[in-house]
Amino acid sequence: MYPIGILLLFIIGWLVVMNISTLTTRTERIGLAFPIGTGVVTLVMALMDLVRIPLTSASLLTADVVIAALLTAALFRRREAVGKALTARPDFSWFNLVWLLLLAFVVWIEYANFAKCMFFPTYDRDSLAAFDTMGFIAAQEHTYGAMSIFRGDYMPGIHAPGSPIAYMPLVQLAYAYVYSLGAETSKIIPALMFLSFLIAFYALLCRHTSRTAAMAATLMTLLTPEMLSFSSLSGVNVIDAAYASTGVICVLTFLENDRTPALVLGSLLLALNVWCRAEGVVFVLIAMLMTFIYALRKHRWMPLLIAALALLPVVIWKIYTAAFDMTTESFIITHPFIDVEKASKIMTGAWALLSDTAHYGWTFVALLLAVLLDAWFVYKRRCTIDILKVVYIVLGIALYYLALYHIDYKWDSIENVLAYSAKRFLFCFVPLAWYFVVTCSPVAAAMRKVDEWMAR
Amino acid sequence: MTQDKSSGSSASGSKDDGKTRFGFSWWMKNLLIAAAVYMLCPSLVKSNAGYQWAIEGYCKSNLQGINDMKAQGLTSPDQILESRLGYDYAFIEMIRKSTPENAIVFYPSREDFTATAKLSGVPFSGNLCDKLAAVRFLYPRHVVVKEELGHTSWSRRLTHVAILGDRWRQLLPYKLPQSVMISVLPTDSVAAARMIQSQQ
Repeated sequence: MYPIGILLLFIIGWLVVMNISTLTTRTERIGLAFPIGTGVVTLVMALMDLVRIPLTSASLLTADVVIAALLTAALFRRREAVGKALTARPDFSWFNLVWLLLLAFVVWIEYANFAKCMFFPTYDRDSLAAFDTMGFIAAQEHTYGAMSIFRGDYMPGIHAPGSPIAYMPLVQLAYAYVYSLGAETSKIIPALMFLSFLIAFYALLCRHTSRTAAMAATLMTLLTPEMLSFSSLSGVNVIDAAYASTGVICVLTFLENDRTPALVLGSLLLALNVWCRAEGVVFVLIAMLMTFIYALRKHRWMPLLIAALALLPVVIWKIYTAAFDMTTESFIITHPFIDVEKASKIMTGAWALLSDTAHYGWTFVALLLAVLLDAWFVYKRRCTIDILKVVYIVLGIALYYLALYHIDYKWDSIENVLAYSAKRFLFCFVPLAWYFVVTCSPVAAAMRKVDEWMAR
Repeated sequence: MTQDKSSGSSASGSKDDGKTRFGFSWWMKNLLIAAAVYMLCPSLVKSNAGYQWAIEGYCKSNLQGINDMKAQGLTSPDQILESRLGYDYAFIEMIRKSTPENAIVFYPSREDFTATAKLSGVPFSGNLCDKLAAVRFLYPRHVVVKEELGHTSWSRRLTHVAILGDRWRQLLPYKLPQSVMISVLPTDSVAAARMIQSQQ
């Protein structure tokens, strides 16, 4: 039954993307279908759980069918545009052998990664001590919020600071979904998430640069050692990076071409990113800041509202945790404070990570070089979008570390967090760095010329 | 959203040139550049220890490892988990097979695993010492850990105790022979006698 469930996730995601815009490309729809379908279904699962509808295989499949029917009905009103999108002839006039070679590398690496992900059941400590176990138990007990491991009498430490009860539930509910439908392991979720992310990332990049450059950026993102190794585990970080980076690219696409559907898609992806990991809120805040400046300049306030809607999962989660008494002792320092020692440790740790080529390959070095190369173009041609891209990345990293600064690590030392966990915090910025490298004005212009020349 | 811009721009040079597309010059250009990129790729990988690890230590070795495991017939989730998690998983498997689904099992801590590894020479790593990890593999059995002893209602209703070395024998209401080093035994002495007899 679970292949049907997976197929339904694809269909729902595809219908959502199509409802947002029929002008999305075929590759974008294929790439975004699974992450969006999974995200939307997990949101619905939380709402079902909230009104005490048991999360059984029958109820989940029924919910899937109802959502798909509603989305199809909504799409029916635009059937002409849909028909046009579906029957558009694919254009291969840009085709070249370098693109094909890079694709072959991507396929081989991702094949090895996908095979590893699917062959080994979940065995990494972080997943067993949280995400996978929570999803598995939720599937057995047909509820997430009211499951036995969230009861203080059975798990006395469950309300302590840093406990997994406080984790945003997208990944756990996605695992519960496949376990409910009879899957033996939950690995199909990270495997398909990463595969879909690669397709979506490539497709979104094709809007801003040549196809060969987009494929090269996809290869370099895939090859990033630390991210590649984590993509086959059941942890949350790579899935979080997939939502965050595609969401940010869509928001920046809106700021570049002023098309609202790109912002709606971006806002949805950023909302799902928050639903996946609470720190994702930093990307929503930056999107709000940028759409606020846009609103001031163009006197259009709707984009700001759309960007702000990405915070909706926070509201749903607040209601959900209150309804199921899933609160934990607070570990956030909410007031401004100065702790020079902590700040210095974080700065040192951040710099050590950003300059660490063993974990991230040439990612951040390439980003720095691209920024320097682009500076002249930005100065000469007033290329605002490139500035916005850099601001998004730099501000995002700064806010991530500011969030670390404001967390009171009662359950771990800041040194440990910086040495181990923080490595994964930067995953969101790896695709964004390669996005900037290949879409900044000089590189994009040069690569388009190269592609045109090779296609001739 | 708008339709893809790059497809239009890159196509512009070739659409009007349908006859020459995929002609001699196209093949020469593409083959030469593709060959250059192909030859540069190993240098890119060699330029960075992380990339080298990703290709050799991750992709190639994982594919090789999977093939080896398949060749040895290690394909079921339990076999694969045992190969990855070692004796710690075999221990959990033993508990699962030896206890009923409604059991309330006392589960040892990391120190118990590492101390027993030293004492018995069985290479336990303590990787599955988290309560949630044990719950994952023992579900629907309930798991109790040492910090909870005397503090939760579950800890007062233990039905089984997982024994590692000389630890936690005091939780059993009967004396255990020293020869029993790694086991899971019921707190009910009659059932325990039967179990030990069957194991011997």
